[in-house]
Amino acid sequence: MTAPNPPASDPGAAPAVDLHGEHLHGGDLARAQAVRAEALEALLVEAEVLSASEVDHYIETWNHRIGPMAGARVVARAWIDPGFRDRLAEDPVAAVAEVGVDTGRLERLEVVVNEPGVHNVVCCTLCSCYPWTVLGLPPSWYKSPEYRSRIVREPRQVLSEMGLDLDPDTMINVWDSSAELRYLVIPERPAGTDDLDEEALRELVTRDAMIGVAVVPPPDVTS
Amino acid sequence: MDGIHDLGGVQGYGPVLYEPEERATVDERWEAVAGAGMFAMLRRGVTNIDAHRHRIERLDPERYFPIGYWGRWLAAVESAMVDQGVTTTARIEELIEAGGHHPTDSAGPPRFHPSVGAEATEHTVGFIRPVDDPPRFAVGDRVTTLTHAPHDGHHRLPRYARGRTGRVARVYPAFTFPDTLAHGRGEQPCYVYAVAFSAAELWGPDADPAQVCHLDTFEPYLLPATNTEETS
Repeated sequence: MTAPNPPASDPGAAPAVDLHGEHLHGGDLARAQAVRAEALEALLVEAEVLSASEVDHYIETWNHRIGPMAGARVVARAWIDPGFRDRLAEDPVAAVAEVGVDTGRLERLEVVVNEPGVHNVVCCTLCSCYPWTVLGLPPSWYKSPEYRSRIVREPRQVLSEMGLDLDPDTMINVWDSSAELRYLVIPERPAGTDDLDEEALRELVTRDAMIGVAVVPPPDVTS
Repeated sequence: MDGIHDLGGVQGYGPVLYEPEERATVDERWEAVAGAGMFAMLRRGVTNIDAHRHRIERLDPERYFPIGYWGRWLAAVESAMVDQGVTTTARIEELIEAGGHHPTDSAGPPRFHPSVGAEATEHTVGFIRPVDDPPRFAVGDRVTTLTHAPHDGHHRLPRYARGRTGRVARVYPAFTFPDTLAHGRGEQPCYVYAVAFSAAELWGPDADPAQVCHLDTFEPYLLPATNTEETS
């Protein structure tokens, strides 16, 4: 992807050159990294720690098998089924498995539920812990120093810059996941969705809303 | 350790480079090698996730950001391979040179901050462990975090939350303790709590009153609060 490149006249603009390597593609450093990785891969295979096909398996898994569609199944069910909501609070991993999500080695997931006047947002300031099982790989901004440094200190401002303007009275709960727990935000169900079935609701749920930097918009009435 | 990784509350950064619903994928094979290499070593007990995170923390600070997330993983993979006897630096450099590059062209292992102890080479799957003792704290208890970093090794108490008083918001099971597991001193499982800190307590009296930060906190980082009132 390409990073947004704000106009130079904007005093708050981020540098046009990406200085923190989250988009390290195609340059000299990326080529050198590729050579280094080839060397390490060969040595890991030689030591029988890694098999040659494993890398391709992970690429397939990360790019195509896991992703926010899993989290969306959880959210949609939580919206329509109060019993599921209760189970989600009591034993989130079992509840997530109930909607057909492969929980793998996930041991503990915590759900944090948005409601009128209360908004939750998730981060990891020390590294980039993220609920891969239900959301897939983390987006580049989640791993960036901008997000990691600022979201705990000035979340209302950061969210506003990201396009989410919350009421000044809305309580913001930031969750800094510094242990082996992973957090999933259950966004508020948008208005105008009473007639939608579970599958249609899933389609509405966005990844960014499940991190807590966006809300789920109401369905597009024009489509 | 007080490393470059400990970013919470650091000032001076600009807007988040945000593209709504940006697709998150591995786009280059070297990134996948970093990830797959790491998970393969975890699965085979060569290292553990806490030692992995500590290798990333120990990276030379000026290298930490330019190499990006997967670059940090790759450097940690290489470092673990050497430390744990999978291969040698000489062999790695030989292969890089055979590929027409110099070893300093790309992100090597951490150089300056030594580890306080290597991880053990056996690793049991999972993090949650049964313990005999009940949790020391309950929801609603007022607790104060350690004032100083517990040690120069791997720990998970960020600078912004040291010496601060908050309230226990959620009590979690006992987890393996990163501080010891990263350094070959066993799992020493301990309870984890989500501790809620007011913004004023963390950032000062002018902070947003409608803002609370919850931090996952391992029990050894916590003491019962002795001050009468945290800033709310």
